[in-house]
Amino acid sequence: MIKDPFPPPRHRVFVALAGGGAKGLIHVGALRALEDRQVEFRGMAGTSAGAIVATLKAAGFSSRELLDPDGGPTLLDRLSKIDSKVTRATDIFGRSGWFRVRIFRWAVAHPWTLILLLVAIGLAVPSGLLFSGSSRSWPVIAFAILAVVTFAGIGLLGVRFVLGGLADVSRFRAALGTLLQQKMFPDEPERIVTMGDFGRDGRPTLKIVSANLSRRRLQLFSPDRTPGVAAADAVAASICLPLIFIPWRIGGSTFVDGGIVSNLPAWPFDEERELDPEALTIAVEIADTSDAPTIRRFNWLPSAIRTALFGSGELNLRVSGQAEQLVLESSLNLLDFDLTLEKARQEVSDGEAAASVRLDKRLFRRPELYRNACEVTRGLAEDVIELALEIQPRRVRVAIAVPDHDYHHSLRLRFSSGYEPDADEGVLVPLTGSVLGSAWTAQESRFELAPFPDEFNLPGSANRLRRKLRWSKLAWQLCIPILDQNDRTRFAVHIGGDAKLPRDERLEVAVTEIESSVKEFFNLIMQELSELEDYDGLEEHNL
Amino acid sequence: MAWKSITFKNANADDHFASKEVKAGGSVSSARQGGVNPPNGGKGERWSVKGSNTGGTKEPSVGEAKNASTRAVSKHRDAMTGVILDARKLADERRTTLNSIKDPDLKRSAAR
Repeated sequence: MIKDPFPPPRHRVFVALAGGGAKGLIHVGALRALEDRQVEFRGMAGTSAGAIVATLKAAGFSSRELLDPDGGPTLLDRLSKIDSKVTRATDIFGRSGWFRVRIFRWAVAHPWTLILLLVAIGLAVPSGLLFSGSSRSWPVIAFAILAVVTFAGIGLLGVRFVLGGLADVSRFRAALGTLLQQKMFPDEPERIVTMGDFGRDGRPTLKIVSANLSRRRLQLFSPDRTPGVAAADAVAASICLPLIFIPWRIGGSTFVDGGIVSNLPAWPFDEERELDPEALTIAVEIADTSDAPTIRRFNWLPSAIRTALFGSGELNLRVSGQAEQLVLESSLNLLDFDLTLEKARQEVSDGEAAASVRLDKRLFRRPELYRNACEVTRGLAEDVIELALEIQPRRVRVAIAVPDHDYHHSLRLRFSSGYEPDADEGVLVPLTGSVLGSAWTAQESRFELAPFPDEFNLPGSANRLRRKLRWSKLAWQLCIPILDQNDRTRFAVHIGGDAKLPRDERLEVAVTEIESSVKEFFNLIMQELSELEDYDGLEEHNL
Repeated sequence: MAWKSITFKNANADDHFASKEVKAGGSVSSARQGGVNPPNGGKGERWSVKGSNTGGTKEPSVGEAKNASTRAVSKHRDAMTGVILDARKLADERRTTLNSIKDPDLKRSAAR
């Protein structure tokens, strides 16, 4: 087989993985979907469970080495070779730690049973004391005192563990450190893998988010900020969910789960993205879909914790450049670490399928299809101009204009064809002050020849830089809004060129032919993709 | 003609577009129908070309332009059909993948 001398360029990606406890299994599936698309991982970032997966991926583990849904050894098999006491996922907590976590999990799931139990004890203790005192029987009195002491002891222990943390990550941290060393520096058994070991020698950079309680601020571990910190320490600091884990100490500082400050760290790649604008940033968010209870005066705390962990995804994506958010939901609960291997493999498989569907829609196959459609449209427009007007079409450019997520006053030119030499590729066009915006707003196709009307010519100081970016030779533009069956504008096809078109009736014929053909063409595409088309930019804001 | 902009009206009217006469203060010129239309509801089969309906009111050069435009568009029908078939394939494969997901929450989030 002859090797293609010019293989297509691989997508460069920065990946941010959100925290989510056992739901983090989805990340393994998402990584597998990305690996199947031959992307080049330039950076990994993560919080909590996302930090574990991000670190392992940055260290060189493939998703299949972590947990292959098709069978085979798992990461736990590797960990058990390092520490024979780590054979199950629950061993992350330690045996006694997991026992306490299970009690806690039961208590959270059955709050009323717990409350009734406490009330019963509260009533039984004074009643028992009264009864034993009135009996004047020393064995009964001794039993009552013993019962009181036992209940008090259990209560104090419970308070101590809840306040201090139910489990310890030391064992997991030690095993992870050895695992990273064996993968990255197999010939140096004494080597401690640090954050500074990432982002060089062909490895992706790594960024981990934690909450520094000592300094009361977010802590970002990265090769630049904290090169000397052991990567396993950074992961341990990121996963210490308050109440569940004993806070982790590094140097003189105490850390807990980064999810309380930034559960979806897409922002640490701001600079990298600006330096490489064509690189993709993919933020895999784990949404919390558990049925929300009716919030009352005394049951708001669990919902507050869940909101803190999962509710700020949108804020974390308010970053420079375009970050693609992959929101995945799982029916697993935060602490379902005792699921069977078979179920875990199924979850990874489902995660991969779900991520594939979303990735193909947002970043790969659907955008590619629209790019092809733009390319075909460009050829069509060129030929109509050449044959109908008997002039050289010179350059024609075509793009799809759509609003960015949650943008309401502008359209982004995407999936373009013919824009490569120009500075306005991917530019944001305001709805007010542009031909495109006029067509979008009126839901009517619009054709303009230069010089364009002042009111549509990007007027005002707010458009100063945008005017500089615009292709100076643009001599005509045709904007065709494509409406869905509910008469909502889904996107607009923007066609422009630099040929001096003759101002006669033939132009009217040619433009009309292009308009009607392109409209039919994109209507048919939209019809086929109707299940994929969502409400980007038109999202309803429900309270 | 001195016009420099065309505003197309919505397709629900027979009058497919109206050209804006700049010198004449916005009077509307004659309309034209035609172009490519998909048969059978436009499901990606080879498209047919409807006859033009210029009513013989245009100058000969306009008629020639119309024919030339139609010819130019027909050159690209195969490519357009290819893209539409790709779209259908993408939608079909997506449906198959979605159906393979067992976790109901993941399935719902993937379908968005």
